[in-house]
Amino acid sequence: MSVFDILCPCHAQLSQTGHILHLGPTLAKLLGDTPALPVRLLELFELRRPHPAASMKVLFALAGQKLTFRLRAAPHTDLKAVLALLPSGQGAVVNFSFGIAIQNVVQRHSLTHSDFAGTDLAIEMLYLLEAKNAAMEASRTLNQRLQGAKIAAEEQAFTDTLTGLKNRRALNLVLARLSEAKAPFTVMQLDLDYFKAVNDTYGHAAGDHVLQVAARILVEETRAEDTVVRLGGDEFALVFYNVINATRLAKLSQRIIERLEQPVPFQNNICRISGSIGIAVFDRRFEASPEVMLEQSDLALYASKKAGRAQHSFFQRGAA
Amino acid sequence: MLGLVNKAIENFTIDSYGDQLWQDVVQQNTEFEPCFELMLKYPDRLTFDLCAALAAALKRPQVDVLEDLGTYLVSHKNGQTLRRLLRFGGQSYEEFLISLDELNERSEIALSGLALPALRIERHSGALYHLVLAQGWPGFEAVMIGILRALADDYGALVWIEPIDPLRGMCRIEIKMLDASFSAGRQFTLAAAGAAGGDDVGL
Repeated sequence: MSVFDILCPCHAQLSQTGHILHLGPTLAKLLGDTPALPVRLLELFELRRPHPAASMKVLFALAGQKLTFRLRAAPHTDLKAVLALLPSGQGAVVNFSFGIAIQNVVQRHSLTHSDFAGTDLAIEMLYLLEAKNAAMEASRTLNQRLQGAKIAAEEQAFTDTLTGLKNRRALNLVLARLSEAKAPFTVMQLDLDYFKAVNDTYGHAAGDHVLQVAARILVEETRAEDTVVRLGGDEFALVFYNVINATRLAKLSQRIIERLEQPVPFQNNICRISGSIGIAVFDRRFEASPEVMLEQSDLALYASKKAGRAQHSFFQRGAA
Repeated sequence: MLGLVNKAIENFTIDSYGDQLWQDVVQQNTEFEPCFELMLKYPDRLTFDLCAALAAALKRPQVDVLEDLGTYLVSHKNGQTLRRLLRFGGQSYEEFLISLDELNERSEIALSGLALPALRIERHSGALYHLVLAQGWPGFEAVMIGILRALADDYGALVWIEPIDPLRGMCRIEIKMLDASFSAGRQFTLAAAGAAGGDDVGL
């Protein structure tokens, strides 16, 4: 075995005319059917980078530079190479390697440990690629599982994370339960007035703070058995179990609005909001479903806003 | 301990003895998880307790169970990643043995944080090797014996592998090469086509 075959088994020795005089064992393996030598290098390989070359003279001028060849025969493998001129016009040596596509090349040409020089890092590179793929696979599996768990947790949650109030999903459950119980109840919808202005003027942090203050007021003004829900944005809904007295509900609405109108300091600013309320009271004569009552309270809320905000209205049958 | 190790014990138990036995093992200790997470860190003690619990459930000596675990890791169809990574160590079983000198670095580069106990290979002759292991993980030498035996089959080498007396606080495994090319062994291609590679599966 020649010195070159041991040190760089993927090389070719060239004559001054560019004919291959000797193929390293690995390069011979890449070529498959070993061609009859001598054969011109450029007949077997097409030079692609830095630019095509039709003559050996052009190729020899690229000595020492990074080259990219492509196998002319199938499977047209791309190879990195460098060419070194031998002294006093004795030709040249071209050494090939596989670059980043090494896994494909090794697979395609069924290369083994012995096809690489003992100092070549190719085997370590292949080892790393497999170790990396295994680790990536493990982390992908974990991510998918976490993603699934997150979605499931969100779907199961009944709490609005910002305010700690119940969310819309919880409201649907409460309404369904009331519908079965056939007990009297009241649905109240509340929109914060001027909330958008707070958000736009003082930023989202101020807006979030105002929502939390409003939520606290609503919790304080209701009983434990009532349900306070943040529907989203600045919209809230309250469900009062066994409360249908209009005077009591009107007083409660006024108190909530008054408390919402108290200035809320946030950092160096004072945030001012109010509230509009729409109320739908269960009426035994009509036995409206909870969903219908939610719609009715929405209509009443619209009436409050239309009338100038910062007030409450009751749903009036026939008024809408 | 990286969860990978606990997961290996979990997979070994389920693949070898079934789900029910794994459930029995897990119920022995509230700290055991029915499904360990590969990349999470768990206390080392938990892994040692898990091995003891498994041996107790199987009513077998722990070293025997751990050796089976080593064999499983290399030869079972679900353990092809480790088998392949180890076979990158060399073209012959002897080359592989010598590559064990790099196993600590190789494992760390594949999976940083694994922190295998330090080990090195001593070559006494072409036919006699000692694998010398630090005692960080009790029973690790039994797992290594299983791995070494399974890989000998994989390479097609006939070897004699036995634990020998510890020396200066280090565990020792003796490996005698009897016939380097006893059988054809299993094919190993450097570049795998799929996850398990283009290698033929099964011995």
